[in-house]
Amino acid sequence: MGRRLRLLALSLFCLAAPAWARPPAPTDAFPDIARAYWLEIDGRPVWAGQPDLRLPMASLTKLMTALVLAESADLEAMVRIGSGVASETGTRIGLRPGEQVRAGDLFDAMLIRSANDACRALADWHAGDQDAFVALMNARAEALGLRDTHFGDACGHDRPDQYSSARDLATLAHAVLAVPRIADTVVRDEHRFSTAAGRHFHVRNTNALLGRLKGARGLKTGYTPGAGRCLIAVTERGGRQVLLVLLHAPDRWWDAAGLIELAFEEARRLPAP
Amino acid sequence: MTPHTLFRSLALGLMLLAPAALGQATGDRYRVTTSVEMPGMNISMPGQTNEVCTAKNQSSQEMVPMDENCQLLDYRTSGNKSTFRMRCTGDASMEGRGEFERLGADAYRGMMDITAEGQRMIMRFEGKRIGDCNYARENPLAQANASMAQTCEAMLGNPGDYPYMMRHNFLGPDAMCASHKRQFCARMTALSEDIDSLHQAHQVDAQHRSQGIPTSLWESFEGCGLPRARVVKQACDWSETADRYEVVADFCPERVKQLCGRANPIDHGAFLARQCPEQARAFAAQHCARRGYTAVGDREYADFCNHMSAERLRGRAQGEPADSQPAQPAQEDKKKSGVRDRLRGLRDLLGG
Repeated sequence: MGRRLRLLALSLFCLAAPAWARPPAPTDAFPDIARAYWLEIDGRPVWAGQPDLRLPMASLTKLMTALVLAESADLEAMVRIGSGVASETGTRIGLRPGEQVRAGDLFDAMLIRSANDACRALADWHAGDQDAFVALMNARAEALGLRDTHFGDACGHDRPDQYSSARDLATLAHAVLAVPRIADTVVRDEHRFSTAAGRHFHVRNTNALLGRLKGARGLKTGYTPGAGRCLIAVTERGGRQVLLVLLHAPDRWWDAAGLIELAFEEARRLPAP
Repeated sequence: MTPHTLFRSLALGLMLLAPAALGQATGDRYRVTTSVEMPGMNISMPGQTNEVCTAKNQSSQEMVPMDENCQLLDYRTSGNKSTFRMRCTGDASMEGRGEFERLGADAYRGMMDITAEGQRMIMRFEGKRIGDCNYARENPLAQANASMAQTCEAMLGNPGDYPYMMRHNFLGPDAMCASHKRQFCARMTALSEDIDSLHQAHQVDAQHRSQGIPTSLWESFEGCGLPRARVVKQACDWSETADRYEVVADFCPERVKQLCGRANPIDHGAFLARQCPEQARAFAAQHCARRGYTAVGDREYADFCNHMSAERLRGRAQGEPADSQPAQPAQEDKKKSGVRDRLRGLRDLLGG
């Protein structure tokens, strides 16, 4: 009888365990790879350095741009390219004012090629101008609980009021991965499309891990002089997922690839979720 | 306080829900809510609600925990309220005090404040009668049996759990789930034949042992008639045949030297990078070193180069000098500015 009751107690204990058995805090095992970084295995933070430091995040911004658009825009609509694209710098695909392009194609070019002219065209089209679109981005950030994030630019250009943290970007990454329209796009190697007038575009993914790292599923690259080289990488193998955020990482590809391999090695020592 | 002691202590509290009087044909069905807190450990379990069938007309004294090693002291009743002290000796020694209060004809509440091995634990309970029941069929012993079987099956059925972690629940004459040994051993046999799961189990087991955490993978195999030597040899043979040299290295390190001589960077990238530093350096110099990430010409070598980068990071994290680490790949090329960017100059250069 006592033995049976002990087992009943065990059941009670097991049911109660999640309330107090919290996972350990992440450790800063690789302090020299980036100004800030965050690595999760199956949603559990394992390694992190300066996770709450506010830093410019360059084109990682476009994940929020994409989230706002995917949740509220008609991506089948045709977009007339406005004059704002002419002022865009950095990576561009060469859109011309007056051209008409399907919103979904601009959306894909923005995520796959990190095209700033596509990004700006979408922001202007959806909200009327960039300031109005940025307001939508900040509202969405607040709704997600991103306490160390603020947007001043829709596409990621350096500005004093454009910043985020590695921890917040991990939260944003989870939010966008839950949107199939985004998750299915960021994993693609390339995208081909045409304007209404028949001008053809062929864009390739800026994420060098795709095709070189087993299980790479995206997510977004970024670079500005202020932000340095940035990356959010998601990799899935055998039902396990590793999410990595790097902000200002001088050697982002080699370090990301190495860190993710080490993470999957670590994952084998952790129970599956 | 160990989990086992905690369970024992909780079990005593749960006996409130399982009074020992058997033999009556009908009973009262109560909905009972219990909560437990351990003030010293800042542990608080959420309330648990169960329906239990108790004998009709049971006295409050009969509802006090009464393990064979426990005795009640100073049981006093005043009106609807009773107070008592309790002392248990032996394996689950503890002392405590408790209160029991009847709230009319169909409800009660109470608490027990117990100290065991210096750890204080407070259990509170409330019962509300919700109807009749057949005590002979639904008595606590029958419920405990059903619940135990359910719990044992749940422990075996969760694919995320390693059954060997609960070896003591299944193996040995005093095991709580001794009746489920056959199913437990079937899980262990399946584990011995699933190389990925076995590899992971082995790594978890080794890590726990290095941290002094009790674990029993190999003892579980032995307890099920699967000698460690046989399981290991089978794992190594299968892994070697399947080109899973990194798995062989973990189970059979004595084979590593021989495998390093046959390994190539395309099929055995992880193994080479981790286990064969001399050969790995030579291959890395040829296929990875001093190259930008996107310039690794043949993607067949990407996996090997990724693992070399992992070893480099591991070395840096462990404070190894740079010259002892695997060959350093080149950093990413400097971002080139476009004509428009350079002309504008005042704005940033932004791209992937």
